[in-house]
Amino acid sequence: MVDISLHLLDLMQNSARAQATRIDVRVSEDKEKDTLTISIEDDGKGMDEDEKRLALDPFYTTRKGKKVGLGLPFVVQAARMSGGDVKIESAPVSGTKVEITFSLSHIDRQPLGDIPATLVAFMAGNPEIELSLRYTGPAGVFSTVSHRLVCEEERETLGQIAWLSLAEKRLRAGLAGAGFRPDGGGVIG
Amino acid sequence: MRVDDLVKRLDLKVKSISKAGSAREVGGGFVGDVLSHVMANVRPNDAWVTVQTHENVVAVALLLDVACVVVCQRELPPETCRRAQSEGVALLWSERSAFEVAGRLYGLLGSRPNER
Repeated sequence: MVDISLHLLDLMQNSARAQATRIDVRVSEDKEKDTLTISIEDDGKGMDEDEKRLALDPFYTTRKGKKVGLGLPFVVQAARMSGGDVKIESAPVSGTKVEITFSLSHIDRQPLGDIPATLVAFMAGNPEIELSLRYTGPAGVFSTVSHRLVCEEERETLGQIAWLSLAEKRLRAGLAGAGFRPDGGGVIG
Repeated sequence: MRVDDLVKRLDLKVKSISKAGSAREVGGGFVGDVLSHVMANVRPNDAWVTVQTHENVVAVALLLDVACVVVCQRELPPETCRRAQSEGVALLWSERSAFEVAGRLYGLLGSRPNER
């Protein structure tokens, strides 16, 4: 995983596999505290204490025919490499929240990557899931919900390719307004 | 060249190896630290040279069926060594830099058969 948006995609896919109908994504950059926090919260089937522990084990997977499950273990590695960590809150039925913190300026912190394109790719593959985003950046807050970003009427009249590109355009504009810009990761100095 | 020959020729420290693993033939080499990149490019039977030490390295090595992993310079956490032992992954270590190890490895193995 070369950037954070790919970890985000991986965790959203975990939520989808856990039969989530809603996923809340929060991305928050705090220059003063020097933190970058990403959280993914879903209303999927959740995990008990044992499953929670096993989810961090690279040799554990729920998928048949696979030897390893690398989604969360890669996230943990990326977070710890930059002086951060991963916290999982989960319970059967109520869903799962994964919170990842990074030290924003740490030299080994991965770049954010193309968050809007990642969210749109997920929306395209999972149109039935209500995806909400709240981004807190250097210039303010931007929040939206997939079903509001492009309304039902627009989806019907535009067709899939067109509504997805409209969604991406609106996401980019909203995020840019709150000060989001793709970055190169942590920096020296 | 076998894994145990490689250990001698490159003066590597063995953190984990099995009997079958020592006798395994090394087909080529690969250097990489970004695990997704390694997953896309390393080949079965390669000797994989890296500075990553997280236990995820063992999972990637197992998944891609590499002949051995050579970790350079950075100290290996005990958990990573234990994992390699329990999964039967050959985990080797060198105090030399990845550059030095890769240079020596290339000297021994040369280019992979269908590499340009």
